[in-house]
Amino acid sequence: MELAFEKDELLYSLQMVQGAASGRNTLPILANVLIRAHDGNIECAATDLEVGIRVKVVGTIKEEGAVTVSAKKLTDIVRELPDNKPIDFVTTQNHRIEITCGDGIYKMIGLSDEDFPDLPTADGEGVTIDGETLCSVIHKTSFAACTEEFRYQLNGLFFNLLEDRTEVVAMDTHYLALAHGPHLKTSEEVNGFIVPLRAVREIMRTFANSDEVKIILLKNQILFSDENSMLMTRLVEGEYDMRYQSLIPETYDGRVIVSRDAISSATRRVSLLSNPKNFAISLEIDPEVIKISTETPELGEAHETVAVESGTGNVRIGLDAQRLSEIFSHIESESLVLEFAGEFTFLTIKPLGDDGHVCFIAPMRLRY
Amino acid sequence: MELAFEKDELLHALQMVQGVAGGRNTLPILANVLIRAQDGKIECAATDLEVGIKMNVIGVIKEEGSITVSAKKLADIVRELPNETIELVTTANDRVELTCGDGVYKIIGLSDQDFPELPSADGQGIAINGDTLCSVIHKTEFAASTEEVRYTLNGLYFNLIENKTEVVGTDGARQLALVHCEPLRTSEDSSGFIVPLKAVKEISRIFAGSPEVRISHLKNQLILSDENTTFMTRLVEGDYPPYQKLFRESSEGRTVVSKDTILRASRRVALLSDPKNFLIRLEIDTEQIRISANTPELGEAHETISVESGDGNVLIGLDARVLIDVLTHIETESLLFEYTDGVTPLIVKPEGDDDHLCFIMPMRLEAPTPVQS
Repeated sequence: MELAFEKDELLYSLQMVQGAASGRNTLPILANVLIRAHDGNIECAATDLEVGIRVKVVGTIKEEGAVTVSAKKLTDIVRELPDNKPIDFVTTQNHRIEITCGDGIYKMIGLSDEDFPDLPTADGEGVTIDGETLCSVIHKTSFAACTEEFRYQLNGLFFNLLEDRTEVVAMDTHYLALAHGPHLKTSEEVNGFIVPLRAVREIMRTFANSDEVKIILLKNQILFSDENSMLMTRLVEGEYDMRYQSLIPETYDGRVIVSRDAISSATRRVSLLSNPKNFAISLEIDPEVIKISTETPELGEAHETVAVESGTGNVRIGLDAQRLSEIFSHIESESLVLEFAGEFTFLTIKPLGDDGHVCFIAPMRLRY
Repeated sequence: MELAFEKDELLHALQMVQGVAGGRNTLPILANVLIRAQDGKIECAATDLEVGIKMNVIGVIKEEGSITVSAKKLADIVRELPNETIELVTTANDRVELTCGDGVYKIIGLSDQDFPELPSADGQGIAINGDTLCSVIHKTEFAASTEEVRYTLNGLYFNLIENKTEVVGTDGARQLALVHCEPLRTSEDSSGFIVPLKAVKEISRIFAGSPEVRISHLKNQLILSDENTTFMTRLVEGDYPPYQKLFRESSEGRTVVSKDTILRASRRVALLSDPKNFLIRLEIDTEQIRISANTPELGEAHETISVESGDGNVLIGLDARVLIDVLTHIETESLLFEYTDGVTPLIVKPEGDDDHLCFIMPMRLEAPTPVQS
């Protein structure tokens, strides 16, 4: 194989796939990136068998072929190569690679592409979504996903395929985030799937600027693809905890609208004097103001008052300040709506004027 | 005590002293910052007993007094406060009440009585420009050892010679960096002192940009001060190793080369050096320098760069990490290599600056042949 690249093109592609290569694996080839020139196209690919990414690389083919080489080493070297000088990439015997750029020659020892796992091709039937929408529903929800490994079904994003739309859900034991996306249902049998968190991050990196992403759902795998890239991931097996639907309050007693920045920065400050074990703070909401406070015996106490833009109802509710701040920082409108129904019911938080995004946070018992 | 501050003034002071406050200390008061309003001045101070800092804060005194409170908590809260006037009031039982906008924060503090007294400088000592001091530190600090085995090397040695000061950092094995600056000798009986690395880092943070820093050397303490800030540190006890034996009258060859070019080439070649010892080869001749690495399991790398001028030849093995570290701290566009042979230290200097030089110990290139028994 004999190829030539511009540095930026090769580096960009390597950085895209590098996240899928495995860092700590028993199989050395999974730490490698596959570089293949075939049918006039150059592509590079990496996979750890759970997630795999393949992208097209812009470059010149002088002779077709394929090889695999350490993804990390190759990326590190290409990153340090001088700009504006072409990179010649040649395979020699015994799966060796020779990179020539300017006055430098780098010979690396690779492995044959024969043992590299085949990544599926995105040829089948699928549904499409634009990349920005896909990344936006992920951004609005994935922060709430549980990272504790013993509840592995919650270590991912649940795509609940409804008749008219898709409900994307992430939760742990204390809060839940939900965003609505377009209809993605393709067959009657499949009502939903769980995408692991690791893949979720790579999807956002790969498809943030895509005009159209095709989604193909296979048995225990899902493929996302656009014209340049393909990402496959294994799905989380098992049933998602559908009881989340019963957590969503149907009615509310009170509803206030408040500036996101005001309540978010006040919450952050008050949380600094909350108990470091549970970050408990209290929100005392009335139609005029929200009082945020905390008291911790060894540390001290904090009180902030935030004016309400408009509202009805009263409540005093205890909350986990860290999770509350996490929700606030993922709300994308300037004002947000808080809906409540007593101190023992989940508090609902949503952006003002966007019904497609809603978060629920569990109340905490207050000791003061 | 009752004080009022602008957020930026208070935050700046807290951030300066916070680095000094003890993090996980046995004495809780050492994690606290002292805030004291006395004689019309507000100062805040922190210490972990090894280093200490005291600085003036701009603010309004409504009632004098003093208190100590967790440096981290206070800095965290002040950082998040809106840009409005901050009122700081002490209440009963060593509590501090901060009011800012619509927020009230009550923090539990400790009495100032148990806070260690920090020495005052009273404008004594020899003066040096703050930027000069920081530059001297920057050029030598990286070479000092961070391994705790040889504690005299965990600092910078200020060798007080008659007409100048020689500042030295070395790890005692692979590299040594040395800078000359103006004389700092205050008395006949002090010939030098070793400033611990923790203090060195704080000094370059605190006194960067300061027009005049006064240094006074007490028995086992060094006090540095400018208009607003006093910093004290314990000195490292013990004798600095006799590094002067590295000095040599002349070298056989001298080569001038562009710093950026050789730095970038070394970084790339280092990526294919043996991860155990980062050995790379430098082959210098009068026209070019060839840098290469060869690691059986990984591969090999070769770079060639042309020299600006040179009059000698050498083949020398180096630790790529050390070379890269040294090159990064050379501040001129071109640098000068001085060498004698493959087993004598390589000298690296900025071109045209004789006051800054680094020594890199060579590494053996071939594995030694096993001795037959």
